[in-house]
Amino acid sequence: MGDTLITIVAIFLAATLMFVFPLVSISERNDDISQLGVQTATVEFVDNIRTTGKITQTNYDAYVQRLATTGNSYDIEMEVKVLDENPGKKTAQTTQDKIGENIYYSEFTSQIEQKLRESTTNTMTLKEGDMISVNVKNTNTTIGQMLKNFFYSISGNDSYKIAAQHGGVVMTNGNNR
Amino acid sequence: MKLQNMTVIFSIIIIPITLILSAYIGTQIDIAVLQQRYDTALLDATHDSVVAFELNTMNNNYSSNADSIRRDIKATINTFFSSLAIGLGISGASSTQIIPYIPAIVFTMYDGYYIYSPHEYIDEQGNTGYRHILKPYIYYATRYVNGSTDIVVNYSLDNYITIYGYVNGTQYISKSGYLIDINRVQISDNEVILDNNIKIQKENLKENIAIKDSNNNIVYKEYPYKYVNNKKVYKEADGRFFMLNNLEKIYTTIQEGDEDDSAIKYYKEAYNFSRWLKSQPEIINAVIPKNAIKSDNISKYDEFQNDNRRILDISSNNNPELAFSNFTQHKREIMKISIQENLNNAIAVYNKHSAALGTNSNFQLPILKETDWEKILTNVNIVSFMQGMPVATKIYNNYAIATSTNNKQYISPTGINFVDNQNTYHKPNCPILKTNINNGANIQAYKKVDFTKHRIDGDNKIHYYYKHSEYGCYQCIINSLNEELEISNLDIKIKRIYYQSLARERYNLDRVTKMLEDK
Repeated sequence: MGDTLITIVAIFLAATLMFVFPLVSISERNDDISQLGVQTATVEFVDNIRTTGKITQTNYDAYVQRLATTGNSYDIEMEVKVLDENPGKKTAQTTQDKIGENIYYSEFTSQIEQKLRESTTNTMTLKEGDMISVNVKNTNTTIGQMLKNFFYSISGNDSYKIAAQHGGVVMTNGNNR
Repeated sequence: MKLQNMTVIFSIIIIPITLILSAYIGTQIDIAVLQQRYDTALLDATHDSVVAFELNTMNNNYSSNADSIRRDIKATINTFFSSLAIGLGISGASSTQIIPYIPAIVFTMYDGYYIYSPHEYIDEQGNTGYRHILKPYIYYATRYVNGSTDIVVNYSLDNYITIYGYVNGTQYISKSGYLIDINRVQISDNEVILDNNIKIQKENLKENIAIKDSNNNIVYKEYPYKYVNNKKVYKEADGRFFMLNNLEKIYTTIQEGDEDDSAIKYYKEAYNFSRWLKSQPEIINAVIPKNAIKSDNISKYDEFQNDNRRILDISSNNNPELAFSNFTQHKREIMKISIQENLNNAIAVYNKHSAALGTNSNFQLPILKETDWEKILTNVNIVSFMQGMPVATKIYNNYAIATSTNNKQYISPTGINFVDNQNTYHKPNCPILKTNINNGANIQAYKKVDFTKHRIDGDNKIHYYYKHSEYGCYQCIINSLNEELEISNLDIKIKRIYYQSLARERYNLDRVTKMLEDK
């Protein structure tokens, strides 16, 4: 009797060790690879905007496409901070401690997408001194996350596994051509 | 015991260990990744602020004025915080949320540096508190005392120095100028001969400027110019000279020749200054590292205890223009000590009052690498420190350095571009330039910053123009030439223009201590 029980336990353990652990490990590596791909794509996308001074529909689509090739779905948060003042002048108000204060207004993903759609050249131009930042997170549950949750579950809204973020100052004035 | 039992017990022991180990390694990986992310954000922000600094000072005609450059630097600090916030993924955050994590930002300039760090302040109601301020400019200066001779020497990134203080207790002197080896130059009225074979002559200069025409439209036009009292004076086709003020021409009564003689003046004044210094044995004997006094005005430096090098005793063995001379080495030590000392002070204040700033970790100044010091001591830089951000089980603590090579503060030995007759500009050691000059092309060189885009605000629009609209050479500028610039290997004709233009641009650099120079 005792033998049968221990054999069942041993088989169960063996199955876990031989199938589940490698699976967990491989799926996590898979997520790591996706993470690397997403990070690279984001950095390239943002740096392209920073050096050309414009966001084009083509580049944006290519970026979304590239994210999709990792097999996950993503939430892309873009933010453009438009410098609302001439940086050469540096101040509009004359209060003493306002010197050097730059004033920005922000445009977010949906507004940027709308601008890209509505523009005749499908381009949104930025200028020297604007700031761009892009933030992506996966929205689906990856296999890695699923298996991990099986062992010790993490719940909540922010339980993403693949995330990338990049941003910076736009270096040049974009043109519409 | 049966094999099955042993297997089960083995697994029960090993599996938890494996799980815990993998969780631990996972945390370590997360820490490394997060640290890497912070490093990148900090470096990006520092680099962005260098871009902002170059942009702001380049388009500010008054950037040599102390107040004006403070404004530019404050704008730069703002860019730094916005960029850092974006890099950390909290783009909406105002600088007040990040500022407690920034113990100091250092802006190293031509002859000194600014530190942006927390300092005590008193508001209108008389309340005291701590907040970040841009502290007053600190010169690269040291005091030397030898008996009754009490001298302060201000150093700069190149061979320019200022000396002031008492010689023999009574005679007060204050002088500044470029220090050169006087055996290198032979002076005559209209030219200077350098190293026996390089003739420094008067030269013809020209550049594009933006002006308003009679219809108030902004136009760009090329004019010949020369420097008069370090200000550019342009020559009209009818022979009259004018200066530029806010896109308007202001005619002057200057009548002298068309050619610029700044380079000759540079060598003449440097010669006079260096010869004067040679005739002052009290100063030369006082300025040795052993006599250097710390900023507390009492104690001497331990590291210079047995250092008897005569720093200002200039000869071919101690040529201040060379990196391995006693002068340059001592100058760098002084610059390094000065920055370290003041940074330590700033950080001590930060640590003491970090609670008032909203953080409670104890900051330790990271040790700057030798390669980083090399950058700081040879160029204009921004060095930023960040600490206190929690990184899983650790506390983040690091710094970033970004070098500005394209600014009006300092003309570095590589900061000169050569314009040829084929509408192209080159680096001094470009092989194409050598071919062109040997084919008899008329070549002139200007400082690098003149080749970048300038902006002007007018007509409610922003205009961009280039002072020199030539294209970059494909061999040296576009595909950066990998060769180190070795001046002694340059073609003699290129060498002449190189020395001439470097002298001209350095002579006309804006400096605060200009009034102390002998004309």
